[in-house]
Amino acid sequence: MRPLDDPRTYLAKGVAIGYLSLLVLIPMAALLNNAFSHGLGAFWSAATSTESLDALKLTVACSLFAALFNAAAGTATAYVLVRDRFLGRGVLNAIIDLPFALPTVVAGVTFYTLYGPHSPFHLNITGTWVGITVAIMFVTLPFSVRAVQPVLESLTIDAEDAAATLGASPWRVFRTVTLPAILPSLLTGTGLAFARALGEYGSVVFISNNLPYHSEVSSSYVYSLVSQGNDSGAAAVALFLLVGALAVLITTNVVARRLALRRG
Amino acid sequence: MAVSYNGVTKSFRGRLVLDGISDVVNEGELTALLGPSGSGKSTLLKIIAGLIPLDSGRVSLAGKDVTNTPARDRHIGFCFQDYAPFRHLSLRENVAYGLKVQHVARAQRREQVDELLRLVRLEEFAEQYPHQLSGGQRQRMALARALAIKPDVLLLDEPFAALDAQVRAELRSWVHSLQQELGITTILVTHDQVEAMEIADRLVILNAGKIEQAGRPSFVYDHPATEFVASFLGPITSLGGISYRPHELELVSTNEPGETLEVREVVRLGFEVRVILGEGEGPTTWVQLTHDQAKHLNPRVGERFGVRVRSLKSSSSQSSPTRESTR
Repeated sequence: MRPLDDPRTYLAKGVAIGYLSLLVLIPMAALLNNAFSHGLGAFWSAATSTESLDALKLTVACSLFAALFNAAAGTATAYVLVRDRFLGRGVLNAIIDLPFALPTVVAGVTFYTLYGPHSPFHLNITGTWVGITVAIMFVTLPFSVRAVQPVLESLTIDAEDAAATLGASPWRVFRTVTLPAILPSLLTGTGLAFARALGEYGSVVFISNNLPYHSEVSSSYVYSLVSQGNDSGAAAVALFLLVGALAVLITTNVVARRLALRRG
Repeated sequence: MAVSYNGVTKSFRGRLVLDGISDVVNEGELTALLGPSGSGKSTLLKIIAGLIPLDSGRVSLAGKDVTNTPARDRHIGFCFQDYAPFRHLSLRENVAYGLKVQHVARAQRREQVDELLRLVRLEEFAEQYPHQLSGGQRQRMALARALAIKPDVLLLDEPFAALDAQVRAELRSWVHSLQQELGITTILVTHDQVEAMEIADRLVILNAGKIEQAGRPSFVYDHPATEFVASFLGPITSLGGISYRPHELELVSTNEPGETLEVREVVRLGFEVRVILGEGEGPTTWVQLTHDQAKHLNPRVGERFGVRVRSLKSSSSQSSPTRESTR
C-alpha cells in the first residue's frame, strides 16, 4: 500500500484543510468581501486616504526599524545565550519568551508608565516614532532570538576556529563564517518579526498617543474606523497591511530557502 | 619548524585534562599523539594551535614563545576531525579563504588555489559545495585549505576517523607521502595504533593527561615503558607469569622440555591463526601463528603442546620478555 492510499493520510489532510479554513481562509475571505463591499473605487479611496497612508508609512517605518534592530540585537543575544556560560543563563533564556506570554496591553501600559508623561526616568517618548518602535521591538524580540538560536547551537565552533587558524580576525570570522551560516534563519526571523510588527496594536496604542496624521499606526486607525462603524474602510486598510505582511513573509522564506538549498 | 611545549596543564570544569606535559617535535617530523579517547590529545593539539587557552605551561614554535599569541598569528595549519568546511562557500572558495585573508591578489590567488586543488586531486570539483563532496574529498579539501597559507606546522585532529576502512588506508598513505614531500612538521592525533605505527616518525602516547612514553614506533612497540603502552600498542598475553606479545611465543612438540598446555580454542583470521591454550583453571595463553605454521602444526582443541618463547634463530622478532608481570 502506498502511503498516499492510507486512509489516515486523507484524514490528516482533511483535518488540516478544515482547520486552516476555519481559522485562516474563511476569515480572510470575509475580510476580502468586506473590503470590496462598496466596490473597487471605495476600497481604493479608503485604503489610500491621507490618514491611512500616513498611518501606513509610520507603521512600516517603525516595524522595519524594529525588525532590523532586533535582527542585530537578537543575534547578539542568541550568540551570548549559546556560547557563553554564566550564572542566570537559564533564567535569561526563559525570559526571552516573556513577550509572547505577556498580554500586549500589559506591555503597553508598562511602557506608558516607564516612558510616559509620568516617567520615573523623566523620559517621555509618547507620541514619537521612538516610543512606537520600542514597544514593537519588545513584542517581536522572541522571533529574532528564537530563529537564530538553534542554528547557532548546531553550528560547530570548528568552522570558526578553522577561519581563525587561517589568519582571520574575530570580526572577520563572524562576518565570513558565522553570519552566512545563520543568514537564512535570520532572514526568516526578521520577516516574521516585521510581519508581526505591522499588525501590532496592544503594546503600541498607549505610547503612540494615536494622533491622526502624526502618531497613529495602521492597526489603531483600523480600530478607529471600526468604532466609527466604517467596516468596509477598516477592512480595506487591514487588507493593505495583510498583503504587505504576506509579501514580506513569502520573500524572506523564498530567499532563505534558496540560501539554505545551496549549502545542502 | 620545531614545536615544543613545556609543562602544559589544562582543566575543564575542575577535571584535569592535561597534567603538565612536555615534549619537543623536531622540524620536518611527523609525530602521532596516540591515546584513548579522553586522554587529552585533541586538547593538546588545540592548545598548540592557540584555539584553547592553557592554564599553565609554555608553547614554542621554532624556539619562539607563542603561548600568548592568538591562533590567527601562529601560522599553523589545522585540520579538524569533522573537516569544518565553510558550507556556504564552494570548494575553491574554501581553499582560497586563507589567501583572501592575506590579501593575495586575485590572479595569483586563483593560480595558487588551482595548484593546491591539483595537489589534493580535486581539480574537477572546484565549483562544488562541501555537501556535494564525499568524506574523503572533504578531508582533502580541509587539507588543501590548511596548506594554502603555507603553514610552518600542520596539525591533524583524527583526520581519518570518520572515513570507511578502504578510503582511510588510501588517504593515510597519501597524506604520509605528501607530508614527506613537503617536509612540513606535522602532529597527528589518533586513537588508532595501527595508523600511528604506519605513518608516524615518532609516537607520543598519552593517557589520562600524561605522556606515558615517546619514541620511534618500532622502539616503543618492542620496549613499552608501561603496562598501558604495551597493551595499547597491541595485544599481550602471559606465560608463566611473564607478559609477551602473542607472536613472540611458539608451539612445540610435547617431547621438548618445558611447560605443556592444552589447546582450548583455535581462531583462524585469514593469514593469522590465534591459538588459546590453558591448564585447568589457570590463566590462558594466546599464541599467534602464521597460516603456514598452523598448517604445519595443525593444532586441535584438546591437544597438548609445549609453549615457549620463540628463539632468535626461528624468528626475527625479539625474544626477550616484553616486560615483567606485575602479578
